[in-house]
Amino acid sequence: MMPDASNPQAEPASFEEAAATTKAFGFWVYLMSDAVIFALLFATYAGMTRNFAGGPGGKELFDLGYTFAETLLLLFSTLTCGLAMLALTKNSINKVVSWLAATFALGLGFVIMEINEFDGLIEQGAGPDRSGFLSAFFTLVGTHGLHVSIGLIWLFAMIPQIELYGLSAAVRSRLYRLSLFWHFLDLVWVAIFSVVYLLGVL
Amino acid sequence: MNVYPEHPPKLSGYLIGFVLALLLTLTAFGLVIAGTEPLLAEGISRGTVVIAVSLLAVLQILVHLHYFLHLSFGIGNLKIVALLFTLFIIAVMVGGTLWIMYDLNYRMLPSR
Repeated sequence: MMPDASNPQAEPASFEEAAATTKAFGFWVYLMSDAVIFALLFATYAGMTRNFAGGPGGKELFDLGYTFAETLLLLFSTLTCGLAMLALTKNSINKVVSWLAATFALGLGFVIMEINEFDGLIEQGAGPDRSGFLSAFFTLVGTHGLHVSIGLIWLFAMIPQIELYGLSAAVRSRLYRLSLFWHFLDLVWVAIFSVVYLLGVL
Repeated sequence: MNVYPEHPPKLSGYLIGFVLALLLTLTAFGLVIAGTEPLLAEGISRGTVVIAVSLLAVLQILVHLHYFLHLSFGIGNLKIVALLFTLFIIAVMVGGTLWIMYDLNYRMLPSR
């Protein structure tokens, strides 16, 4: 029985297995630190929700239909990521690659939509320099978008690794941590669309 | 090697999580897009809608934690311990930030 975060007392089967579960827990701790960063960006945003400096606010700027589309893209990508991990447990290498590719496509769609949204805001003079509200908005949502972009790079890097090394222990361990990262980003997005977009329009 | 020492994921888990998350998302968006006017007409305050949306968000975060991040709730789980500690840190830092900024804002107001 492998010792891990949920059962620290069990016997390790091998060094590789012990190292992998330690890495998985370590990555979880990193995600917790990332959660603190996002929480503080939320706190900064919360302090700025009314600081429009005479400029536009959420009511004028946010298109909830657009945000809903972005949300669906990310939610579906979290599902396809889970399906990739499911295929991993069944050692179906082709399905793993297919579902990872689907996750990448959906995530890329999200990032493109977000860049388009930011571009549109800047065009209409509602860039991060317009007001405290917009500075906080761009920082919070932009940091999340940056995380997703890095996740895309990671997804993109895993596919040639699978081609070269197959579903080796190292590849599995990395895919597991990538899936943790990806699910975490969808979780943060739930907070963003709720607090920033939905509450921002009310 | 097994990346899931606790319990292997199942398709049903991901599908249930996905459907729950989708329902919570639709409810939250629906409430704000279509619902605010009729709700305000019936005398339900904006504040109540804010609380409802926040609650839906918390619920969806729990769904994500359990169905996607496979977080099994139980105090022996080190991941849970790490999460609880993180929530404590967040409470102190966010609470402290809001307290300080609120106080600073008050002190910066023009005196009567």
